[in-house]
Amino acid sequence: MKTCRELRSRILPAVDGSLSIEAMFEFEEHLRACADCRERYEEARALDAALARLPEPPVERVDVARAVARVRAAIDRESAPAPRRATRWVPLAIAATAAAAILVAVFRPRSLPAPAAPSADRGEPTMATESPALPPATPEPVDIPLDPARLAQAREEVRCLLALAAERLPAPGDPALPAELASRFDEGSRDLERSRWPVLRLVEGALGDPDPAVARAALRYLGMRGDRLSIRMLEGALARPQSLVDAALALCDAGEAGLDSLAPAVRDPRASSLVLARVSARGGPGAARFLEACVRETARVEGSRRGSARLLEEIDALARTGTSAVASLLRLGSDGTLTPAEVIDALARTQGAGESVADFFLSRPRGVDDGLVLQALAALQPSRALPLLEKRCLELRERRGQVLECIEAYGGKDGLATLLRLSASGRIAPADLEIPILSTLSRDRGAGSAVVEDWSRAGRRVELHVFQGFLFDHPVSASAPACIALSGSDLVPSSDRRWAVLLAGETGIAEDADALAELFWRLKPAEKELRAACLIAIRALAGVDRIERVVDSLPSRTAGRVLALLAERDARTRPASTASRLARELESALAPIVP
Amino acid sequence: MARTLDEMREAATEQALIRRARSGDRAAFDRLVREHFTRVYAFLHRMIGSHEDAEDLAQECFVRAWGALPHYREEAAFSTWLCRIALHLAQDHHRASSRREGSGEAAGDRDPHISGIARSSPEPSPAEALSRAELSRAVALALSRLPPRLRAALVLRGIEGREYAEVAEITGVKPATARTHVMQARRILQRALAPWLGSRREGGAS
Repeated sequence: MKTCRELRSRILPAVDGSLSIEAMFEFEEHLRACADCRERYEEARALDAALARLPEPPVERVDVARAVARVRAAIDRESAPAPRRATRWVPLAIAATAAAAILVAVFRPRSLPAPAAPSADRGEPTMATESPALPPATPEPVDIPLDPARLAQAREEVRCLLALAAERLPAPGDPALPAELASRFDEGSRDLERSRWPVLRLVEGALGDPDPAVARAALRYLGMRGDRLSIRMLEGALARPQSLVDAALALCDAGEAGLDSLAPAVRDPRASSLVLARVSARGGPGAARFLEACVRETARVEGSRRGSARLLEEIDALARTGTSAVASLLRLGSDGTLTPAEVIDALARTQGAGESVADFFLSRPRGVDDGLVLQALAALQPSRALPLLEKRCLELRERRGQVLECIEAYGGKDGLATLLRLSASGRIAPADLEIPILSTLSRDRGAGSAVVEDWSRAGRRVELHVFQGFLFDHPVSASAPACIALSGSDLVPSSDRRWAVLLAGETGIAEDADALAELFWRLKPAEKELRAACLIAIRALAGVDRIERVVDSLPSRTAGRVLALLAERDARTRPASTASRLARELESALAPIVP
Repeated sequence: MARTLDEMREAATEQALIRRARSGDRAAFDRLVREHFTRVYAFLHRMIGSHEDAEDLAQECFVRAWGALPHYREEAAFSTWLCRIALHLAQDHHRASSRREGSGEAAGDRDPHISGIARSSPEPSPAEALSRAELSRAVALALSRLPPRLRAALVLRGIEGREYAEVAEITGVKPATARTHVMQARRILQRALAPWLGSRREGGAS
């Protein structure tokens, strides 16, 4: 017998679910007897519930695309050569700086001065610049007086840099991001940026370049920047037929930021397949929302002629975004855009959809049909979704009723085994589990016996004991096959096995007599009490005729005595005390065949 | 524990991305950032309680991860490794905040969410007086007052539901110590929140 102090150490494991079922049984038994430990346990659970109710971090405020860009920029800054420290040896430092300046002047002929001329009062044209989001070293927005000759020179430098960077463009059809193009251009244009040239505007100027490689590089560079100004420039390029495809690819490169501008590209047959493939490959919630809108729009336009190759391609692209597609597909099924069969078919092709549908069910978002979610959940790998639901059922108290309904909807052997394991955990009120278990048993009479056979093979004595208790407390017709299976299990004590057989005879239907006859022949001759119980139960369910077939191969004297005993008394109407006497008489009739 | 085919495929893709990132492929690293940013942010938010600080530290976490990638040995999961870096940053942040507090700036003043509770005097019958939202604030305040390593253990196990082995790996202790840290944290919280959790026992600890 464990002491109160020893069992108290189980409070935390019991609350956080790391206790074995056996240990939990022992612990709960102690709780029933010890008010002090019970109070401590309830306090620990109250703290757990309070922790579970803490508001979630506001992840919706996180702009992941921007965070990626910032991390990249910070890494760039760190990898740039550190500025020289001021040294006490000033004369040498000055000399070195001067020497470096001379070297730069001699060996860098394309180096440009700042756009602002020394005399700003010459009435030169000005160019309003906008501060792009990246890189962070970009100067503040200013109106810069321009020298036309220097501007032409700067444009030419940007053009050359783009032509060089274009060598790093991914091959046509390669879905990789043109990251090297962007980094090469950024590297080359650093001096222009430092000299406060509006590099982004100069890149925009290159969009109409007669050299298609330069124009393409400019578009893809803008996509990699992905800030608001770049996206606006790309929207303009999307409207021009000659740059539509590359502008669409560039908007795909921009990730979430470019999605809202991509709608015209999806409607254009030249770009639509490319865009769908890229957007789905990038994945994420934004991509799924975008593709959901595409599917809805296409289905709306097609109306009753629905089912075109384009719609199928869009659904397929949505399914390939992974778990993000789950919410979108369920919404599309709930508002009637897609049929339940189309939704489930698409979900079946969606990686990781099983768990996500289960999560989705638990979160119960508005505008989604519960029935559809259940259908989807039952269709998608119940073997993976059920353990998840079981875990959630133990973790969440508020939505437990819904989760149990969901497990009940699965039904069958797996659903029943899950419900019984939950019962065995002792963490859920028996009243909450009663209806789901009974309903699962009556929908599938074979489920109970299948569970018993599985657990007997696996040696799960504790769970079998819990199931047995449930069956004995609920003598209904649906439990008879499980009772028969229990009486054939070596893990159940022999007195309980006999009681299970007699109970099956009381509550079962005529078809159950076959299982009992099979059990009768499987039993060893020495198990005469159990065999007698089988005969009484068969007699009760299917009458004496059925008994004749069962005892046919017994020695004729034994068979005759058995039949006489069973024929002369009506087992169905006999009170329990005489039924047990009949059993004893049958046992003695069967005794001679024991070797 | 046996992994599903999908999990193995995912891990293989991630390992490929890590190898590419280690050889200097920035696009691969961008993808890793994209995959893991939200989770790192969420952990830091739970540790610090401020959106802006958590976002900044999450970015710093990835910048450091880039620098440290050559030392990543793939013995721990990448997410665990990132979380370990994030934890160091959160602890540095905590130390810096404590210094500021020492110089007169009160922690409650930086987080209005928490300061409301900090300033309120305990009611005679808090269980009746406080709504569920207020209880959450009380829990958040009590959490923020835990020593960082206990807080980390409780956040990782009690809120994020990680296995003790992973908690241990992130916090750099043995699994048994991680379990002790979680118990200590729970004990302190239970004591601090006793009036709200309906404890009748002095201190309310188990």
